[in-house]
Amino acid sequence: MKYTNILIKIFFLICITFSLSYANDKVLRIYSWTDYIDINILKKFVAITGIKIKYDMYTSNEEMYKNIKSKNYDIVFPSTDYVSKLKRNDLIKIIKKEKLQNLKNIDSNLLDKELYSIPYFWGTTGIIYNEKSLGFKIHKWSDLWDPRLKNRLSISEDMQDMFAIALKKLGYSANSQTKKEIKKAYLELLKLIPNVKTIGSNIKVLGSENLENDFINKHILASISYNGDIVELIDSNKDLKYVYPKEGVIKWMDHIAILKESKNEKIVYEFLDFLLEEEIAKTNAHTIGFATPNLNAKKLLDKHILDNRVIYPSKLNLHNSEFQKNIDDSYLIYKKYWGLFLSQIKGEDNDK
Amino acid sequence: MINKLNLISVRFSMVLIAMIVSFSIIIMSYNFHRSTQNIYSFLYKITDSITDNIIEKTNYYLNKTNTHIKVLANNNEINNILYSKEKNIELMKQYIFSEEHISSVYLGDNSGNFLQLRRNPKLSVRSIETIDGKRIEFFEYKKDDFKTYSYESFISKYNPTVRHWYKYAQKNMIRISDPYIYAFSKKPGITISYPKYNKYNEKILVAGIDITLESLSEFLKNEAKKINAGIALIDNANNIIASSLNNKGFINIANTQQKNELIQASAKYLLGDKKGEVLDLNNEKYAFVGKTFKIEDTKSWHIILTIPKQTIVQDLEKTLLETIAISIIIIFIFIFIAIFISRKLTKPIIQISKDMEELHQLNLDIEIKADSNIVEIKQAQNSLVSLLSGMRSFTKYMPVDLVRILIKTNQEAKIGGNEKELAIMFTDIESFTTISETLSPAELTAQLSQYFNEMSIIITKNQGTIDKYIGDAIMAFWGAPIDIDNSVEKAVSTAIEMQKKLAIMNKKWEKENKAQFKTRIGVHYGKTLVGNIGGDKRMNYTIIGDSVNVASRLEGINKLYSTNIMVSDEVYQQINDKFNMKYIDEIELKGKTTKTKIYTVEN
Repeated sequence: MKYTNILIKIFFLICITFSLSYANDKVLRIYSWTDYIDINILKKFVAITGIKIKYDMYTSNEEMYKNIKSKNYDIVFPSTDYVSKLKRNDLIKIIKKEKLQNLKNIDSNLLDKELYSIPYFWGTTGIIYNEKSLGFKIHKWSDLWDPRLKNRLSISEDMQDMFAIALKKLGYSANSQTKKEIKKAYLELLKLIPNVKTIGSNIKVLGSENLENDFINKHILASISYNGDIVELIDSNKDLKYVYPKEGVIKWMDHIAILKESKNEKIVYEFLDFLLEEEIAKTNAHTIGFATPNLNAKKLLDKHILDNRVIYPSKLNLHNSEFQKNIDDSYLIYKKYWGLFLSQIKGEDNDK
Repeated sequence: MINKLNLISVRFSMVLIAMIVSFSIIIMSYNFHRSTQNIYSFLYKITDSITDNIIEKTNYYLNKTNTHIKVLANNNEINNILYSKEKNIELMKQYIFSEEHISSVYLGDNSGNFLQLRRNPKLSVRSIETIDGKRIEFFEYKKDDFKTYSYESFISKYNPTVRHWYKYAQKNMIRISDPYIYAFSKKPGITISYPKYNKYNEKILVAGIDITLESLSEFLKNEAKKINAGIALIDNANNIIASSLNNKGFINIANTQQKNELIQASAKYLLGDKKGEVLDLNNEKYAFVGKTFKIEDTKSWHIILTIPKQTIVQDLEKTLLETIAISIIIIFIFIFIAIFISRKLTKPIIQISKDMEELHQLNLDIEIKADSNIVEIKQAQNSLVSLLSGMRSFTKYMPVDLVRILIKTNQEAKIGGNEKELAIMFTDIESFTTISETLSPAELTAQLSQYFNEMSIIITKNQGTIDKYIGDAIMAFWGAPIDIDNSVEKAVSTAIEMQKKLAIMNKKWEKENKAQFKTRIGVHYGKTLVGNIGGDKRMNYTIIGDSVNVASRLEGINKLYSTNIMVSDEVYQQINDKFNMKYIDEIELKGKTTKTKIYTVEN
C-alpha cells in the first residue's frame, strides 16, 4: 500500500516535470531582420495560441548566418542568396505544404519548387536623393559617380548590393559570376570612393546614425537604400525622391525558412500559417512597409499603398531590373574585392 | 643613629618616588577611564552623523522620486496608459537614465494595462495589455542606446491592480512600501507609488517607482570601512535592509542563523539596549550603539554601529603605553635628581651629624672639613670647626670624664654633691720653690707642663679624676664621678706608675741638664663629699672634707720618712695583699682624732 502511494507520487512528479518542460518548450524562437514583423501581430498570436515568443533581430544576412549555429532559433528570414546558402549547408528544412492552409495566398510564381522557403517581403535597392540641394536630377546608377556628389553619398553596407550597382552601371548582370566583370566592378567602386560619406548605418567609422537627420543637415544628398526603409521619409520630405535607375534597379526578396534544429514543428507551422493569413499579412505589410508576395493580402491593402511606386513599382520602374541571386560560386572573389574596397575607403577616410 | 639618618634619607627618596608613581598611575588610570567613557560618545557621534546622512539620502531620493512619480501619473490624460505609451516611455527613460538608484518606473491603469521601463534583469520596456480577452505581456529589450534588439511575448500572470503599490495608493498621497527584495536583481529596495483619480473620484491609474537600497548599502560600507566598524540599517519589520555586511537580501534579526557581532548587536538593540558590548564568533569584544529615526509618520528605522573594542582600546593602550613610558622616564629623572640631591645634601649633613656625635662623645681627635658647596651646610660645618677647636681648648680646663658622664646620663651640671668613699691622691714636687728659683719662668713652665702632662695622662688612663692643679701639686681621686672597682688599687698603682715615669723623665732631664723633680705622693681612702661646688655660672666638680686633708697630710709626711709614696691604714687594709707594703709608723694625722698607721709602697 505504502509503495503504491509512493509510486503514484513519483508518477505525478514525473508528469509535472514533463508538463513543465513541455510548457517550456512551447516557445517560438524567431530570428529576423530588425523590426521585420509587426509586434501587434506577435501579440495577437500569443493571445490566440498562448505560445510564448522570443524574437531576436539581426542587421545583416552574415550576422544571421553566424548566430543561427549557436542559438536554437526556429525560423529565420534570409534573403534569396542566403536561402541557397542555408540549404546547401543543410541548415534549413523543407516546408510541408500540407501543413500550411494559407500558402495558397502566396504568389505561386515566386515559390521555390522544393519549398525550402516561403517569400516574405520583396523590395528594391534604389537611390533616394535631395534634388533641390543637389541641383541636378539623378536617373541612372552612373549619376552617383558625378563629382558634384563629392563626400555627400551614403552607400549600402551590403556587398552584393554594391557590386550589383557597379555591374549594372557597366551593363553586366547584377549577379555576374565572371571574375573579370567582378574586378571591373571593383575598379568602378574605387572611383566612387570620393563621393562616399557614410556606409549604411552599422559601420561605426563612417556610419550614419540617422539617415533622415543626415538629409536634413545636408551631410548627405543621396543614398543607396532599400525602398521599405525610406517610405516614410519620402512621404514626410517632399525634397526627397526615390529613383529606379535606368540601368535597372536591384530587386531582392526575403524569405521565411525553418531551421533544421527546430524541434517545435507544431508551433512553427501554427505561426507560419498565421503569418500567411491574408488579414495578418496585410497588417504586417502595412506596418513594415515592404511589398508583400501575399496576393490576397495585397488585395486588402489601401489603394494609396498600392499606388505608392516606392513600395509597388510600375513595370516601367522595373525595366532592366534583376532579382539578386545566390553568388556563392564567386563569393570568395566578391569577398576579396569587397575587402579591398573597404580598406581603401577606410584609408581615404583616415587621409581626410 | 647614623644608620637611622641614612634610612630616613632613603625613605625620603622612596616616598618621593612612590608619590610620583602613584600620581602617574592615577593620572593614567583617569585618562584611560575617561577615554573608555569617550568611546561611547564617539560612537554616538558617528552614528548620529551616519544616521543624518542616511535620512538625508533617503529624503533626497524620496523627494526627487516624488516629483517624478506625480509628473508620470499626470502625464496620462485618459485612463489608458498605453494610449500615450511613447510619451510615458520617454519620461521613464529620463528618470531611469538620470538616477542610478531607480531600478524601475511603471504605470498601471484600472483596466489592467501595465507599462514599465526596467533595468533588471535587462534594460527593457515591459507592457501588459488585453488582446482578444487574453493578458499579453510584451518585452522590448533595449541596447544602451535604447535601440531594440529583441522582443518577447507571452501570456501574462501579472495584474497590476491587485498589487499593493496600486491597491493601497491613496488619493494625493505618496505611498512608500516596506523594503523588500526585488525578484530579479535580488537587491533590496522600496516602492513609491502615486495614483491619479478622475473627477468621479475613481482611481484610474497609478504610477510606481522602484528604488534600490543598494546605494545605501554602499554608503554604509564606505562609512564602516573608514572607522573599521560594522553598520546596519534596520527597518520596522526588524530586517537588516542595508549594511556593511556582504549579504544579499535581507537578514531578519529574529529568524537569522547568523550570529555575527552586528546581528547580535542589532538583536540586543531591538530588545532595548541602547548601547553595550557583544562578542563575535571569535570571542572578540565589540562595542555597539544604535539610533532610531522616523522614515515616515508610522515607520521607524534603526541604525546600529559596532566597533571592535580592540580598535578603540588599541589607540588608548598606545596612549597609555606612551604615558607609562614618559612617566617612567620622569620617575627615573626624579630618582636620579633625588639621589644627587640627597648625596649633595645629606652626605655632608650625615658627616656633620657624625662629627657632632664625636663632639658629643668629646672625641676631639677628629678632623672636620668645611668643604660643602651648599651655603647652609658650609655654615654648619664652619660652626662645627669652631666648636671643635673651642671644645679642644675647653676640655683642658675641665674634667672630661665628668662631662662625658653628664652627657651619657643626659644630665645638666647642677650645684650639689653626695658623700662617697673615694681614693684620694695628692702629689707635690719636693723643694719646688728652690727649683723654681734656679729656672727661668719659661723653662719652668715648659718642664712643669711636661710633668703635668705625663702625670695627668697616667691618672686619666687609670680612671682617675684630676680635681685640680695647685701650684706644683695635683689633686685627684678615684670612684667619682664614675663608680669604679678597686679604686684604691688603681690609685696606688697610678702612684707607682707616676714614680716610675718620673724616674724616666728625670733621666732624660738629666741628660738635658734640666732640673730633677722628686714627687711625693699621698693616698688615702675615705668618705668625702663630692659634687658641683660653686655658683650657677661657674662651678667645680670637686671633693671636700677631712679625707682630702688626710691625703694631703700623707703627701707631706713623706718628707719626714724620706719616702715617695705614703698611704693611710685604710688604703693598706684594702690592698696589702697586692703590693709590697711597708709599715712606717703610727701617727696622729691632722683632721683625724685617732692615731693612724701609715705605710709606704715599695716599687
